[in-house]
Amino acid sequence: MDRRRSDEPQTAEPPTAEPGPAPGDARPLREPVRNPWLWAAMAVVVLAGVPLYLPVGTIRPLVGGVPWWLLISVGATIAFCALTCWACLRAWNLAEPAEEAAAARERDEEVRP
Amino acid sequence: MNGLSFSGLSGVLVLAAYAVVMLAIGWWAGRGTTSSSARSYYLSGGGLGFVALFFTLYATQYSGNSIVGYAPEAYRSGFSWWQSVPFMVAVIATYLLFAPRLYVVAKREGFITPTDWVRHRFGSGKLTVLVAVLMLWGLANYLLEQLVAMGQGIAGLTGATIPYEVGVIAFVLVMLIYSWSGGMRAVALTDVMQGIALLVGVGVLLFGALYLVGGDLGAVTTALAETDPEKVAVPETAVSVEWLSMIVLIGLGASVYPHAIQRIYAARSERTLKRSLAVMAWMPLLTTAVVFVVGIAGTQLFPGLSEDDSEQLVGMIANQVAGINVVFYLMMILLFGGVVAAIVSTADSALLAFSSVVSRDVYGRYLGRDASEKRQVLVGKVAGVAAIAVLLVIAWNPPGTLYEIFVLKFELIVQLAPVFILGLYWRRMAAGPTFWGMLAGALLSGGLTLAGVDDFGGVPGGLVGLAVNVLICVLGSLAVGRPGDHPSEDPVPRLTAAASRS
Repeated sequence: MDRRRSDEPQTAEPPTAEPGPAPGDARPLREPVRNPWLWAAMAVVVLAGVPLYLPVGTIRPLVGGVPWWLLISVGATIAFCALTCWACLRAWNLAEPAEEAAAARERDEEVRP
Repeated sequence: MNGLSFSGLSGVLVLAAYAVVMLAIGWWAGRGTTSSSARSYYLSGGGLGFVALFFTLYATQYSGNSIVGYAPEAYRSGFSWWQSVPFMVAVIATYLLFAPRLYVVAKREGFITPTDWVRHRFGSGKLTVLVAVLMLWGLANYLLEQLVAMGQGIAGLTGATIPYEVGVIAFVLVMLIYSWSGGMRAVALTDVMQGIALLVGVGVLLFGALYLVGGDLGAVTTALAETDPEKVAVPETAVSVEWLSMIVLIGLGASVYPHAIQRIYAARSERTLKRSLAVMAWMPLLTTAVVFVVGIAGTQLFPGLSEDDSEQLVGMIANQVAGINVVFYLMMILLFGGVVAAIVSTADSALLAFSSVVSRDVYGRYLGRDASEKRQVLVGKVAGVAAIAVLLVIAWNPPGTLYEIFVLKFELIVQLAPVFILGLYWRRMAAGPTFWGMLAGALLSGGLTLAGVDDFGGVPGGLVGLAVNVLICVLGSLAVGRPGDHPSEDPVPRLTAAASRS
């Protein structure tokens, strides 16, 4: 295995603050990949939207002129969108508390130099 | 798209207006950018806020092909093309597998190119070279597709008043000027305008198509069930397998595109990134779902088109809508302006990523190790211009259908997924087996394509290659890797420790 180089040029500004939860921030640190229920639910909504389990060639019944199987697929896709959106907002909380705290400190320092 | 009733001078004027606006935004955005800093030029200093980040994600992920290529696909495939909606959602879902942790590591380590992660994790060996080569190949293919689409879109909008070649060169020059001067900041801010133009364009296309079919989509699908029942019925198993495969292939492939990863690096904060992605999760319903409906409406408006003729479907619908009255005429001008803006916005992002990989990972690492950062950025810019020149020569003879070349580039790019998704979490993953797995996957996928083998019972060659890639990588790492070979990238203990200290 290649060894990791220690002489990599550092191209960014040094980090201004160690990332971490802000004092008093009650939200727990969350990483989506650690949530098995999220991925199980993702698998369900993706598979529910693919008509693999339905009899090939079926068209009827039509609901408002649209085949029922497509409505199932559309419903599953909307659930997929909602789940992904929810996961972005609620299942992901790593650097935000520290970044928000750092930003708040900067604002305070601007007000009280 | 010849003989458009709304073509000609008005088309030229709207394109000229778009070009002027893009140049003005690019000039304005470029004022705060310095070419002496790679981070400033390629990532806008890592400071993109919500509006710029959301629109640059949107305008980059959805190109003009999402309209002019996907509507004909819905026309030909029927309801099974609904897959274009979940596979676009899958791109955002796949981000959730790696973006949260990659964002933390990238900010800590100051990454600029996607290859920086590979070098940090696996060292500067042959694996990073292979990753850079695959990225450059994928980006070049992506750029080529945009150049082909750009020429077709411009020629279509102006009814060939602006010839294909002149249209491409004019907009490439506009793109190069603002990208050269403003880097990521200019690209992201022009993406705001271009993303809005794309949304408006998709909206007016839907409105026009619904107007033509009398607003009754149910009647369209009922009639389609009578005339082409195979387009309406539950598809054959192989098609459903392909549907699922495309969700996996495009979800994994599009999320690890270099320009996609650089947008993770460029986010101002985690809050900005996750809010942008949360909104992006809904955008397929406003974009590819709408284009799907338009394609289905096209089956009744223009029945019986051949595959080649169906590629002109959006132009045909626009032409018919524009002929109704002056309001519709103006709306269709907006549509094609939006299509061209979408193509340019995707091309500029790919170009910037291409330049950054050449600048940092090829020139900065091997050819000009002692060169200043300013010189590296300059070399990247020049390499981008040179690549565009070569691709333009290829674009003069565009391939048949846009969709086919769109899938082809994913076959190789998707081979990068393991180094990001597995590499962030699995400390035992070793560079050697990862290299051989990626190489085998890329060669197998490319070989299958060259041999004309598109899929195995609906599973694309790219996914077969990825399976081989992962197998070699995992088995090889289990054999030669050790659990402690790489320091943990798990941010939670680090963050928890920081919290307890404070």
